[in-house]
Amino acid sequence: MAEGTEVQASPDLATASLGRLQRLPLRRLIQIFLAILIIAFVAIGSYKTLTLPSEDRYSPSTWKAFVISGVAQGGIYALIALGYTLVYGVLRMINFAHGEVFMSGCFVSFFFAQAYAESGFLNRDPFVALVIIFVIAMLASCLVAMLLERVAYRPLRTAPRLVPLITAVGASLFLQNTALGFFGPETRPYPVPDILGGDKNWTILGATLQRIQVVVIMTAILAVLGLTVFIARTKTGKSIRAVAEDREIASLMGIDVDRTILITFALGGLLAGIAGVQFGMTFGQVNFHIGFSLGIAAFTASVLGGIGSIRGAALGGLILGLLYSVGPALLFTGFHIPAPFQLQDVITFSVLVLVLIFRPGGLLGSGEAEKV
Amino acid sequence: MRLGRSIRWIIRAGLVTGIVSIYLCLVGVVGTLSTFVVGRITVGRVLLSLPAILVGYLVARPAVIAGEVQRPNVGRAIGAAALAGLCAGGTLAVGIGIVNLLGIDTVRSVFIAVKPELMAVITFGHTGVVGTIFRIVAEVALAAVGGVVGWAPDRIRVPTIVAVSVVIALGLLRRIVHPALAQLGLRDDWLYSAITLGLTWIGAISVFAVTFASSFSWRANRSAIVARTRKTPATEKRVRLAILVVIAVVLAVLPFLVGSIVAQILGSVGIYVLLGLGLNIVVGYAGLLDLGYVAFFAVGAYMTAILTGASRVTTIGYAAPSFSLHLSFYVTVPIVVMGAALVGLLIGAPVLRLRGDYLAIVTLGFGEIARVLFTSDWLKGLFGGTQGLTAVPAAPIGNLDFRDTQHFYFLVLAFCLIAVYLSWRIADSRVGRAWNAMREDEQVAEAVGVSTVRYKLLAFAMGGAVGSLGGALFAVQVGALNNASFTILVSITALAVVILGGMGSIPGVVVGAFVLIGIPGVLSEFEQYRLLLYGAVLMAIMILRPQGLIPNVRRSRELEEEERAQDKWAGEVSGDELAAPGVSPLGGGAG
Repeated sequence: MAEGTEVQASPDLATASLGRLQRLPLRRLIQIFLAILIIAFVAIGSYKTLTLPSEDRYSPSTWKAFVISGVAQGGIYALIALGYTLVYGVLRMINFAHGEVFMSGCFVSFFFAQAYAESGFLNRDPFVALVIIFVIAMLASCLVAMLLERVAYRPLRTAPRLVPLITAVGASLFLQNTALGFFGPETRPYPVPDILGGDKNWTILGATLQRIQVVVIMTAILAVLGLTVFIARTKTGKSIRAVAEDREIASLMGIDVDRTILITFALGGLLAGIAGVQFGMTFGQVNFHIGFSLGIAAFTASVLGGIGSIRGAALGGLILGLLYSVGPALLFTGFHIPAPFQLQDVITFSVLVLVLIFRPGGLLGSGEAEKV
Repeated sequence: MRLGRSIRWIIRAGLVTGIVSIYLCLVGVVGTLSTFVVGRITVGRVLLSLPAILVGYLVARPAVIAGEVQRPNVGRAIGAAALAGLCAGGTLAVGIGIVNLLGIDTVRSVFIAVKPELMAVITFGHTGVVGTIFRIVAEVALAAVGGVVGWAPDRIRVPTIVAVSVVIALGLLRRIVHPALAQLGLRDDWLYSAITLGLTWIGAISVFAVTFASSFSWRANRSAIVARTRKTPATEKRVRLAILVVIAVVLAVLPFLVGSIVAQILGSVGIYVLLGLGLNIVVGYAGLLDLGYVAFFAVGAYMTAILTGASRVTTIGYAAPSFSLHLSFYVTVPIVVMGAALVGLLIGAPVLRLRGDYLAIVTLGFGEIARVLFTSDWLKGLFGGTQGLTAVPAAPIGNLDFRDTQHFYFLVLAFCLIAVYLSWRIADSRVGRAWNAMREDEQVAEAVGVSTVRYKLLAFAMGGAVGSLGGALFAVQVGALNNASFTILVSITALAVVILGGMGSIPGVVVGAFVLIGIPGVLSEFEQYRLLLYGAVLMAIMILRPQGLIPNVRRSRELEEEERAQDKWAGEVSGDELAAPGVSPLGGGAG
């Protein structure tokens, strides 16, 4: 079993008073009951939404738009989720501050994007400008992630598990408020080059996609492929896998564990930086607290896919993105719940809780063989 | 960590110091905190000077090489300190140079804290190269001063640190000290300047002298005094009784001494003492990290509001929620407590089998779900949506309605005392011992007959119940509830309160609440950096002193035992003065 599935204690440890209860598969029964309840809720909610009177119903093109924006959002989630997964793979810790790493990349690249937009460079030479903006964001996030590892986590390498987690919560709050102090509380408009503007569409296979969504989906796919190849083929990737497998043995094999862990954080930072620019250009805005909720959502995505697994993080991101954009409309509109999109976060967290109850290893978390 | 002070180590320390100083400038604390501490020295200036003083201090401290204390001679120590200061000054000079080169306005379009006022603080009002040189000289001088203190033998060094801390604290806390002295009929115009509202130089020097002298003589005679008072159990008991009486008297007169504004802050401190005590049961006693503690706070507040008959804010005025009673606050409290305990069970049940870090994230999720539900349009009829509920009735006993902040303080105090008593008694009870066992090693605890399921649920329920008391009092205190009051930050603040004082430590919670809620409350201009401080506190405590400021006695003993088993980590940490060796109290979890 993978680390994540370690949550079930063996029943033979149960005490006498609980023995009777444990013999009945009570836990199983509760799980099945819960599962039926949820499936019923989803089924009835979807049915009611889809059979609403036609004037209240969403049109097929709206659903299509929901799905496409869900996929694009899923790409952003996936890239951030990879950061959680990588770090969890090597350190077995939840890098709670990873959302803030993403935010740093987004914010720092914003200043360059803004300067390029003002000087006209962004529209004159959009390709070059975009590459520079992506690189800046990646470098910024990478730097923050490495600093975080060096300053906050390295001294706690052998500390009990909850100590680094509390540190990470502190680091998250600290980074968020540092951005507030540095850059101020305003939400700023993230400039988008004209050729990727919101009204420019491409039609692919009969579906109309905003160009920015195509760019987001393509870069996300490229990044996931690149990372997979890096982990699977390069020497550094090999040492990351070795450290994930067993840190002590890896160090006996001559692998510099500290350096490998630092590189893992750096990789997570690079991906978060890409996600930062994608987020800025998709939603057209940036502020100091975007990291928190997106970080939690991405963490949920990585748990959903199976934390520690790269493909899992990508899949989890995709599913969560779809749930996020389609879910509220599909599940809640039928019940006539007002403002269903307020309840997006409820869906995220419910998914997280349910995954941990029913399948703590995640969808693709198959076992020891696949930790990174 | 600090073995042999090579030149490289010193230079690196100096560069880090310079970067920290630049960070403090950019994040805004240096420029915006303009309360005067002593004379014309503002909080911002003190903060800007601190890194240099600290690095000088650390550099000049005797090094421990292979278990032997190596005391440098005074010239070397101060020289090393000055070198570190020079490096710090150099780093700052680069920063100043960049700002001068690009122009303040350009830099300010990115870093909003860079203003002419900030530059004036850094360069002492001079511009260009002159200002830069002034800064470098200042850094060297400050580091050298720190070096002298760091080098000095303990009988001088410790009283100096104590006295300087007291002076700074007095300078900052005028809002408390001034009205208190006025109430006692004492004059303080020699102590505080009427113009700057900071300490006068005469006041500062006399306070320094008095504290230094008393600390010095206390250190010299400590063993004699302790021996005299702790000779027999009877005298020891008398001393403890005397301390209790003093604390009781101080608590009783405190709100009248400090005035009604500070009394309100004391009320908030009390509410966080309750939250901290509740979370302490979950995190400190049972070893379950709960990041969604705000759920109980919200449940307590909203249940109280609805049961006592608060109104809903709508566009056309006030309206009663779809369910509303008009019970007395004191009838409501037991219902709220039971309700919160039930919510604790509901939250606890599905997540019991999760390992520590997953548990933390899932509870975080529950906290957010609670907030979203309470403020959603869906449940607007009951909880008022984002506008929330208002006009929460007071909690009168007879003629006294506790609306006045000075009276409300006593209501909070009463609840705090009950919670403290409960926490204290439960810690040593059968339940408390079961929690201890569970935290230390879950599987062993099960093996010796502790039903971890039951005790985990009990911890969630009890922690939730205590936390909901905080929520109930909060509802009465502010009288209006809305979505801004129940964010994740409440959970993190409560966590910081527990962590700062030390997990499992009741005095720790009280001190933590006073430091983290009281001090930012009194220094109102500090408010905007409160969360930055909490983040820094959480990180610093976990890295440097995981057992907290006032460690739980039993816990410390456990830690010492565990230390031998985990000497690798302890070895890494204990090289530093600040960090007592030990591992974190959070040993729980089946991982």
